[in-house]
Amino acid sequence: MRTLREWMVRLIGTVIGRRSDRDLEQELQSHLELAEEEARRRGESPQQAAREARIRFGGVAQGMDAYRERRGWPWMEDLVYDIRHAVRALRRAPGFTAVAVITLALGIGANTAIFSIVDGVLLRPFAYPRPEQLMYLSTDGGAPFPVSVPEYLEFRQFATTFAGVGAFRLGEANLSAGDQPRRVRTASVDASLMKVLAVQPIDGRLFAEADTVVTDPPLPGASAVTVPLALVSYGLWQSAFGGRPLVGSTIDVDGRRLQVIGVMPRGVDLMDDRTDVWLPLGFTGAERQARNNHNLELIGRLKADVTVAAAHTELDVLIQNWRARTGITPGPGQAGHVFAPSGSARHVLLMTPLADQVLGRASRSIWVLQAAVALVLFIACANVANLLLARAETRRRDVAVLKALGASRGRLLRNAVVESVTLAIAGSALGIVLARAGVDALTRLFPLSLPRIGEVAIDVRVMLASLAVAVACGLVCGLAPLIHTRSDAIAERLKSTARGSTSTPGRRVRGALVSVETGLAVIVAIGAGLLLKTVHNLTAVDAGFDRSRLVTFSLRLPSASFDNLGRVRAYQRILEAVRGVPGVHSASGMTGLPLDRPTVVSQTEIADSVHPMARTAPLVYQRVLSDFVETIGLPIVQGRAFNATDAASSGGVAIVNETLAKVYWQGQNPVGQRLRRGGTAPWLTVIGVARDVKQAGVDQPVYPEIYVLIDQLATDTPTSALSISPTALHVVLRTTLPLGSLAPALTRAIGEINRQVPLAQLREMDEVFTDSIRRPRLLAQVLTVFAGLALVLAAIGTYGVLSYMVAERRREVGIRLALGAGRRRVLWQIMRYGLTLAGCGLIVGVAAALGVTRLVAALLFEVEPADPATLIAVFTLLAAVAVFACWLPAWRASRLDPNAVLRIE
Amino acid sequence: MSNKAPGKTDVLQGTLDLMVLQTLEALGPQHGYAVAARLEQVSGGALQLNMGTLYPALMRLEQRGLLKGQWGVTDTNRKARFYALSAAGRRELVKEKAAWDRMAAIMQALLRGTT
Repeated sequence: MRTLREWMVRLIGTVIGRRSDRDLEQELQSHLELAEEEARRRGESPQQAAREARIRFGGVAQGMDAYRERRGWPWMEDLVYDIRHAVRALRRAPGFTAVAVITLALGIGANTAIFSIVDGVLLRPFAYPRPEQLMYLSTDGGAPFPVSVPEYLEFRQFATTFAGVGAFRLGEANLSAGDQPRRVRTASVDASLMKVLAVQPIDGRLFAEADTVVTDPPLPGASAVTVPLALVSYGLWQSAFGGRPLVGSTIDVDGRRLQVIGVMPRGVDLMDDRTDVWLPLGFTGAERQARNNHNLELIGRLKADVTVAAAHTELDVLIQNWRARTGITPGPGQAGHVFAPSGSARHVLLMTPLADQVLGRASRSIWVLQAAVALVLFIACANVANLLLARAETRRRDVAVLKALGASRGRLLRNAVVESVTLAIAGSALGIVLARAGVDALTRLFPLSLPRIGEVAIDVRVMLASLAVAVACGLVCGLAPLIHTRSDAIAERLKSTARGSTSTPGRRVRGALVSVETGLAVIVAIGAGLLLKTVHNLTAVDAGFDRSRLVTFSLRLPSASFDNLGRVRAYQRILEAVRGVPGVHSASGMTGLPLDRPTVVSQTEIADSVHPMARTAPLVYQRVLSDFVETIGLPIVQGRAFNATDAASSGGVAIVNETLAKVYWQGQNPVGQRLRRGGTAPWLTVIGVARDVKQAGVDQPVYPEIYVLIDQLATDTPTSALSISPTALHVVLRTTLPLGSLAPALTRAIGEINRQVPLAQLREMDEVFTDSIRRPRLLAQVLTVFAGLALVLAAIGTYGVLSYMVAERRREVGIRLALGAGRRRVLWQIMRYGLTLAGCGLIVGVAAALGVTRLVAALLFEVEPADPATLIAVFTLLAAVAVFACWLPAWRASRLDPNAVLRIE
Repeated sequence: MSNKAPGKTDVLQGTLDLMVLQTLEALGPQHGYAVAARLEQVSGGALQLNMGTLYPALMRLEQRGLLKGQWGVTDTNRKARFYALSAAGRRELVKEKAAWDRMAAIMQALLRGTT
């Protein structure tokens, strides 16, 4: 009650009706006068009386200070006063202010930009509610591998720790919107997945159970025919339909008319696949029985009170009992295929938090950037602290006077801190502008390098974080110069001349700052060096074929518009048309684009395998059209390439890669060997061995691969799954034409066959390659920018400290020169001081880097974290920069004219 | 800035409030200097209040409504601000005095008991 009342009075006191400062001052003045009067009455002289009164009761100013503390919120008033004071002081020193603000803006801006990525990508990875409850489920096929339909349905039935489990398949489709067909990314999802993700459409509704009922497809193995419905992503709604009302209207997807039932909210995506169209997913009777057909991805949502550990425990138990619960007995073929925890039939369900699955190694890259940029900020802070230190030195007399006048140490400290925080906030304001430009540039230059990078924005959250960082920097920079003021003796300060030399602690702090920033710059530079070398090594990897002047685009001929053989003929006709385009030397097609293809393997029986373990092998199938070997420039090391006779004959032929030949035939002649997919398809005869071509990425191992000829499908009537012609094909062509002039000709060529088929993903093979290493490139390039920034800031810091030292010792240098000291000697002495500091930093930095770079080891390719060449290069570069930064001020000192210097004194 | 000096006594905040209230009760409305002088006199010089201690206390009491301040003229014809106890101030003084007496008795009993 009492405190509340006092609080109210204070509040009112701050705002209205308070006694004016003048009033208070008068009261204190009258107090002193009364005291003096009494003293005089006792017979003291007026001077003595005044002195005595002040000693007894203190000065008016101090009384006022104490008085104000009680009235209202003095700290608020003081703060306003201090800020005004700081702004005025900073305005009086525009050069200092500009340098400090720009330095801080660079440091804070870089941090803000990277933090916006940390925040947008790592801290808020999904647009779903409670994303931490979402788990990604897969089987273990070396890498995460899809789940089969029966496995999914059983798991849904068994799992008790999950509130729900849903399934999906990602894919692509042709969308006809208006007159221009386009390629879109699709996600086929069941009703249960929509519940698991807990998203709500911004318009319309989601899929219900009834929407996922399917009819069996006309062709075995082809995808089931679902109810013709679709949901559209916010992005596609805006870009293809201009945001006009869409629910209830129909869209043309892969030649089928689908009714749009809803529009997804902005940012809702699946597995960072940039899903455009959501389709209903249902299962045919055959699919529900196909235990061995792994083609589903699963996401489950844990119940609210279930921990990840508890879910893992349940999963382990389920795997143990799966066989018993389903009543499936072990046996050959599909029937016995069931989850088992161990043994040769080991087959388990894996659970990973969805965020880990989607972000994967990207999160480490982002943290590395954040760490690097934090070091840059430290360097920026060190520089500003340095500047403030120098400024404090020049203001020592002012400070001493203020102290003598009764300013408390706390008050001076606050002044200094408010000044530096003001600087930092100005720096952060400018930094946010820089960060915005930086993030814009980053999303433009590396649009797909990081998950969800399109969602990254400098929002209020990020700005608040930036402001917090700025205040922290301000405190650090502001307090650093004050480290040594504790020992200041006021009288000492007053006596010293305006050109007094720096106190030893001041010089020591400054020297330490030079060492620290050099050390930090070394760490960032070594990190950047290692990543640059990684990118260099990745670029140098032999992809297995000649990718110069090679252009590729993607064709998709959906089953709704083409039957199985009709599609093969359509591909052949389109390729004929493409070969007819002037400037195109040759053209062919393949199902998997090298460096950008998922490693999908099919079990294949090998007739005379000498591999001790296996008669069947998981092989990567590359299905190609005629002229493939010639177009892509695939070196055939043994046997021969496909020829026209093969294309027209029905006797299945195949080319295998060297890895396959080495692993399964081990030195026997592969040509003439036979193999067949799944153990039931017609036999294929090997006619040649080709050099290994990288499949998933240049840093990935090459899997055993087999090339088969799609053209042969048109000549016989096989029944295996392999006999279904692919719905999508990557066309490759060798040409000297630039993309710009190719596009119209290619569009015309395709349009002649089918107007609904878009020309998609037209790009040079080199671009496919650079895209495949986009993340290391992003990391290397951004880190290099930061390393450059760190280097420049450290150099400026070193230069600044030495320049200050030279300015301070002008007189000394002048005298020494006048007394006959050689200019070289002066030069060397100053340089030695600077180089000692920088050298300490270099050595400590290299030592620290050896420890720190182990954290990036996972991001490196064929480079050791302690790569000597990189260490030496960085060391040399930084040493050179340090020498230059030291030489300049030292050279200036050695050029001093002793006469001029001494005359000024 | 500090009012600490050898032979001088530090004043606890609550105690100072009580001293000021009691002084004003004894002397009637008085200005700050008179209060300080009185306390110094009563303590035999042990208690020297500098302005930075006294005036915030007066303000605090005024803010709590225990005192009422008003400008007036001293007998030597100087302008000064006079403080008087309000009704609430008198009630507070009675309460605080009783509390002090109780506390003092306890302390005394305690200190005797232990020695």
